[in-house]
This record gives sequence, structure tokens and C-alpha cells, in this order.
Amino acid sequence: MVRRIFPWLLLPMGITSLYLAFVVAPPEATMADRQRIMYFHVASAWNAYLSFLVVFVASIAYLRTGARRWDRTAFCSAELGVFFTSIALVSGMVWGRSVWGKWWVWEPRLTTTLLLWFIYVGYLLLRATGEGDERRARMAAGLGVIGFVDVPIVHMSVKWWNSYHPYVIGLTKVDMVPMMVVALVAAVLTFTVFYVYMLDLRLHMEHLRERTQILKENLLQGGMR
Amino acid sequence: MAPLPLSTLKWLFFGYAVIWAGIVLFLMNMGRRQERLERQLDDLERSLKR
Repeated sequence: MVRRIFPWLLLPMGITSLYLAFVVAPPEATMADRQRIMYFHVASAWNAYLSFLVVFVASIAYLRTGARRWDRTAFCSAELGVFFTSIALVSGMVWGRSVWGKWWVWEPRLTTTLLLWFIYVGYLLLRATGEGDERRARMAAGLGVIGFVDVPIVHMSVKWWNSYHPYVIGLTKVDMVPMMVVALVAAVLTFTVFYVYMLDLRLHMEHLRERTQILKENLLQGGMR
Repeated sequence: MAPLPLSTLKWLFFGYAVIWAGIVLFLMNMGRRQERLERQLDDLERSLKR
């Protein structure tokens, strides 16, 4: 269902959110049009959080049940999480260069986000290099659970420590004019649908890869007999 | 920094909309190729069972 309906939703949703972000939303008072990158930067960061939440839940489910589908879900979601974190980091660097005059500053939000990126790149490396399917999957699930601890730290780092990073989206308030909020919500919704669609495609691809592998092994055994 | 003129913003919107459409069409094509591969796998598994 997702594979059939979601692309037709994504096309108008993406175009609408681009129109809201570039044409409808007003320029920000101090940063002017440079602030428009925020709509896609925040949406990417939100999707990174969501991806790693799915890794966390799927990893716990795998450790409890040992079912392969949970391991597959965690792996595919971690790949997407690294992809969205990379977009958030790069778009944040472009924004930082135009607003602060520097590509990178070692401040709490940026540093904890980079740490998050490294944790999940490590997770993917573990998946690629660890030995034994079962053992590797259990180790990766452990890292998937522990690694998630960094997500709330990333989000709260702006509040907990002195940070240059703007804090416009709190747990209880959003510090923006209404049209900016509408553009941001549209971007977040579009990116969320995009994530679900990509996860479904990636899971299906992984399922086909496993089926092909089993078929190949069966054919080889048949040939040797 | 002065705000950009609306015409520039509209061109930016148009450019990104074309890129977005390209990404979605690419993914749709990938989904179709996966379905074709799945059908081929089904056929292969059926013929091996016989």
C-alpha cells in the first residue's frame, strides 16, 4: 500500500512545502532569506530523531523476540537516520557559514549531533564487518539501544548548555510567526512521509536480497548433489 | 541583508520543485523494478519446486 500511494502523496506534498517555504513564508527579521533553509534543516533533524527512535524500538523488539524482521527494520532505519543526520549537518553548516561566518563551531548542539552521526556510522560499520549473523545482530541491537541516549541530549543541549544554536522549537512553545509554523509543519510532514516510503522501499529491497540469497544457496546445493 | 525579490524566490522554488519531482520519479521507478524482480523470484521459486 505504502509503495503505491505514497509517491503520489509525496509529489504534491513536496511541491506545496517548497512553495510555502520559498514564496509564502515571510523573510525572518534578522537573517532575512537565509533563514529559509531552516524548514528543511529542522525537517531533516526531526526525521533523524524518528529514524533512531525506530532503531531503538526495533532493537529492543529484536533482543526480546529474536525475530529477523526487527533486526532488518533497525538496520534499514539506521541507514536512513545517518542519511537525514548528514543532511541536517550539511544544511546546518551552510546556515552557520551565512549567519555566523563559520562553517563549524564546537558548540553543544553541533557537537552532540556530530557524535550522533558517528554513533550510527559505527552501527553501520559494525553491521558490515562483525562476524556471525546472530552475534552481529545482537551486538548491533545493543548499540541501537545505547546509541539512542544521545537523541534527547542533542535536543536538550541548547537548553542545558550555553549554545549559539537558535532554540525556536521547545517542548511546549514554538517561537515563530504563524506562516513560518505552517511552512515548517508542511516540511516536517513531507519529510516524514518520505522517510516512511524510503523505509518501506529499503525493507522490501532487503527482503528480496535475502530471498535471492536463499535461492542461490538452494541452487548451489542442488548442483553439487 | 536585504530580502530577495519575489521573482528570485519563485525561480528557487521552481528549481527545487523540479529536483524534488526527479527524486520522487526515481524512487517510483525503483519501486517498479523491485516489483518486477519479486515476480521473477516467484516464478523461479515455483519452477524449482516443480
